[in-house]
Amino acid sequence: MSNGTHPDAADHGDILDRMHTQGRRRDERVPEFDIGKTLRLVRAVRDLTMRGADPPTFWTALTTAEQGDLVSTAQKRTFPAGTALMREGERADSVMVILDGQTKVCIQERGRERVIAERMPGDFVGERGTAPGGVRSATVIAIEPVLALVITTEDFAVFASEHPELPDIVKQQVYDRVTGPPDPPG
Amino acid sequence: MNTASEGPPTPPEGPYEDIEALVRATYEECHRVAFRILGRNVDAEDATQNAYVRLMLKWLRVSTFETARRQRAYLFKVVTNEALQIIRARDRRPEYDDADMAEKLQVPDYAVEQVQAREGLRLASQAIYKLPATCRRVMVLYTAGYEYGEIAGMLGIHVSTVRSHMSNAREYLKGVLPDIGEGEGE
Repeated sequence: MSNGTHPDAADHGDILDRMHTQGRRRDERVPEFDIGKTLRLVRAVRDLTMRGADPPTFWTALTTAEQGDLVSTAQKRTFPAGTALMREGERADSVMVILDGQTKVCIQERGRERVIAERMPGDFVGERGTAPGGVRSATVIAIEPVLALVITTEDFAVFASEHPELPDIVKQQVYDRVTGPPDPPG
Repeated sequence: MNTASEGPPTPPEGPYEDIEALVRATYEECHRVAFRILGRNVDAEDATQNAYVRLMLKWLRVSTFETARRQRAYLFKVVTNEALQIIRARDRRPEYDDADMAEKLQVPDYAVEQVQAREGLRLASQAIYKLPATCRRVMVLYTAGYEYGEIAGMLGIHVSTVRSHMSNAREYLKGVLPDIGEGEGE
């Protein structure tokens, strides 16, 4: 490698320095940060952690490293009370893990809505989104304000492949709900 | 020593009592670091939130750190990792084109050597994942515009260590970016 006078040689070092100058310039236009969203997320994770594994959920079946990776992979979305996290018949292009707030799972039966289950913080919903081409089998409604992790089918596949040691209980829980018919209560 | 006068408000001597105190005291700076690395606020917010969730999940350990300074060093380490992970996820997605790549890597649009720089940075961004973790973090913080003294303060390492990581990084990049400017940029 020639040094100093050779323009190529200068370029190598300068890439980092140019980026450095640009990065420094960005300092003048850092937008405001909404701390509220972060606090809500951190509190939800803390509450889930403190509750322990009783009852066991999808979340509690994961190690803390897996939990962290899942959060990093996911979009964090909030749903006001009364709104739907997903609707029966829609394309299932994501899965969700509820971090905070109660939800109910409903299906349409002869034009009427029937509640078939409830899902709580830590639960996995939208199992049909684990494989491409699925359609939602039920509607999930937020009973109270809900904070959920939304993971696209694609990203969930990447997550699962990067964590081949995911406990069987997780796979089982997902698999059971995908293959089994929605069981009516009683 | 060299960052004491310019740095952020001095944290309390002892560790932060709980995760919320830590978030409130550090979120502005943490988000600033993420923004200066990533350049796009949605991504910076994500990296910041992900970092705090990781700290929450590790709180049992992080709470035993003896000083707030050590907790902050850990936070900056984690948020830099999260930012890198977001860059990596962007790389996987085809919808990000050259313009996004340039934006991400902070190349000014008006730069004369734009194309060459982009090509170099594309290689660089892939190459940095092969660097040892600390060296990679130091380099990323440098490209975010932080000076050696600032990086030392953030990561809780000596400035001479920063300097040697940077010289290793430069040396390494010289090796993996051999052809920049030699007809590649036309």
